[in-house]
Amino acid sequence: MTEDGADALSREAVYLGRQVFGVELPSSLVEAYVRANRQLLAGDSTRDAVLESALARAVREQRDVEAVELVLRLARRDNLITRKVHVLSYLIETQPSFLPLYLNERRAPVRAWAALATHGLRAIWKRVRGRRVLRRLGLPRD
Amino acid sequence: MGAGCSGAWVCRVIDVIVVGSGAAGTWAAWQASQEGLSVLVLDVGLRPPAVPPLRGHLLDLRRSDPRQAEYLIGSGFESLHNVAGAYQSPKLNSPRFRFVTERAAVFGALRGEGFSAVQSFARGGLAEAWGAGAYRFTGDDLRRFPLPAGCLEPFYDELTRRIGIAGSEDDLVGHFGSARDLQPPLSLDRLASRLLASYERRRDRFRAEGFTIGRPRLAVLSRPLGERPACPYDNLTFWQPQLGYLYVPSLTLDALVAERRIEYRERKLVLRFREGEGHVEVLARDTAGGADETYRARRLVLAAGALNSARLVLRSHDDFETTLPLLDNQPSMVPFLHAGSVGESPDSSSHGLGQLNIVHQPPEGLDYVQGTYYTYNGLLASEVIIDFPLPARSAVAACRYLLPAFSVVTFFYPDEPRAGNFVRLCPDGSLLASYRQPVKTGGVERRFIRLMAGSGFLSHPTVVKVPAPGSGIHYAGTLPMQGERSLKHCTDPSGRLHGSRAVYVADASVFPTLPAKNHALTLMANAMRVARAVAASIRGAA
Repeated sequence: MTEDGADALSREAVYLGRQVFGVELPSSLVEAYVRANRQLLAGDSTRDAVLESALARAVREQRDVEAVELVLRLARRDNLITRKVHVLSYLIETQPSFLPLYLNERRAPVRAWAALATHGLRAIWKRVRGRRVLRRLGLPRD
Repeated sequence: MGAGCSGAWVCRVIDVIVVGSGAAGTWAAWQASQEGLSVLVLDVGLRPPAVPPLRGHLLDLRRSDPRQAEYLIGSGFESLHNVAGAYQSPKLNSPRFRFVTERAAVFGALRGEGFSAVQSFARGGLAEAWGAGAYRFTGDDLRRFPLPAGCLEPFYDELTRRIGIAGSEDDLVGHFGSARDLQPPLSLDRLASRLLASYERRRDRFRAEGFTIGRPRLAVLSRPLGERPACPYDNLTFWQPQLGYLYVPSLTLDALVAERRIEYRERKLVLRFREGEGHVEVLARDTAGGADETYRARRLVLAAGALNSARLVLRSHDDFETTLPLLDNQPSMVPFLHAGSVGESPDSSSHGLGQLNIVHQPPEGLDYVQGTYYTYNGLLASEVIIDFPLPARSAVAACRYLLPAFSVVTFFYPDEPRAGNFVRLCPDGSLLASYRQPVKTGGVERRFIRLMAGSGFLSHPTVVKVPAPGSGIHYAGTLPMQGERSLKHCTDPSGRLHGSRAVYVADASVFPTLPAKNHALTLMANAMRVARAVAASIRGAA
């Protein structure tokens, strides 16, 4: 991978962290994401290349990658963008400072049901939005 | 030194060579040494990484250890190679457990047709990463085995005392059998306690539908045994091998080697055997240097696992034509959400192993389906995050609130020989494992889902997962024991390979059928029985 490639992956990590997970990634996680991409996600299929390029454009144009990933995943879960988001989720979850995102430390059933209802509605909105962004990026849904 | 032989072992003919150090090989070696025989174990013997063991509770480590990624996903991202891919056992995928299946494709080339095979060349074998389910086969389970009633009982009793099995005699005692010397059952965690309490209130309803629920029998210590500690409920069973309180074969192997009761040679991949006059020669390749070596013994005990023992027999006969039966317990996984537990705090009282067993026995017939109930508190949320039909950030939030209420029942189905399920040796040396006639799943799951809804545990048939055949990793039946021989390669009831005077098979290859319960304890007990038969045959020859 070239230096430019590493820079592009670093930008991608920062953007995915912020836009998809709502967190600012520390540099150690950005480096881990770049290494993980090199080792695990060096896509070699035509489809991977198309998605790689679409993701780069989405990052450049500050598009809603979270919505795009959802629509792609619901059609086919082993797509490159879902794999990248999934890997980043593992990296984030194994940082103690981000654990509260994944772990509910105090009993809160009312807040839990309210949050689940909100996120259910959010999923509908993101699906609609994801289809629109996919069209703009010139990608089919599957 | 004999013609064509090399290495020190041919200077003196030893009594028994055991191939493999898994649950069967270890206990065959243990029993053979107990019978006063000289024993050599040949094994590839891959070991766990030499890193400091984890200490403390998993939750505390996750809250504070900045280096947790090393053991949760691997410093080289070892456990992430299958992200978004097909189902893999989370334990086998865990970084510190990867030695169990490491380099399996190199040492045991295998081609699956409709069969996703898992092999191990580790010291201790696949049972180094097992779920510790330790069940006796009852008379009904053994009804198609050509064995006298009760012949395994003394070995079950010996194993129960030596490895330590926690459990109780509850509603499932009819399925699991009575056992002396059981340790008290492990404590249930919060969700499992709720399920068991609900079952006890609605027992008649469950029983009317053919379902019985009870405590599992686990080879885990609830009280100290010798130098081994009791389970501290640290929830590390997915992440740290050789915990001490959870029995694995390498514990016995270590003791046998330390007491000089057996000779253990690692980095030896056994390739084939040849019978001579009153002895067997075994050809093994040194996996470090690549040199071939020959060993000689009065008897050979194959315990390399159902796939590799079959490979050794076929290769030793240069047989590329014969197909051998292949059995496995087909799993299905049913997730449940307990509505009343949504938004709970994490449960720190779990051990990560099976909490309860569920048995479904139809009124007609003896074949039952056995399930294990697991709560989801020892694994990462990211394992399931893309299974939620939600955007990523919402899926993270959903995991946060739903996982304390989330559990999975893994059902296992019994198996018997079917024409489409077989192994065959290919001319290139690889083993073809074909499994074209899987068992039908679905009915039991649907009935159980309906029943569980009345206890507040919600699921739906569309979320049931049925992993590819082979995912059960309870392989068996390739060299079945037969009272009257009907296959070219099979074994007699003593475990002796038909047509052979000195070659025995001690692993699950010899099981003619496979009940739905985990077969590990039975293959250990049977290996001890076979080793005793080997000793008797040596004494008889003398």
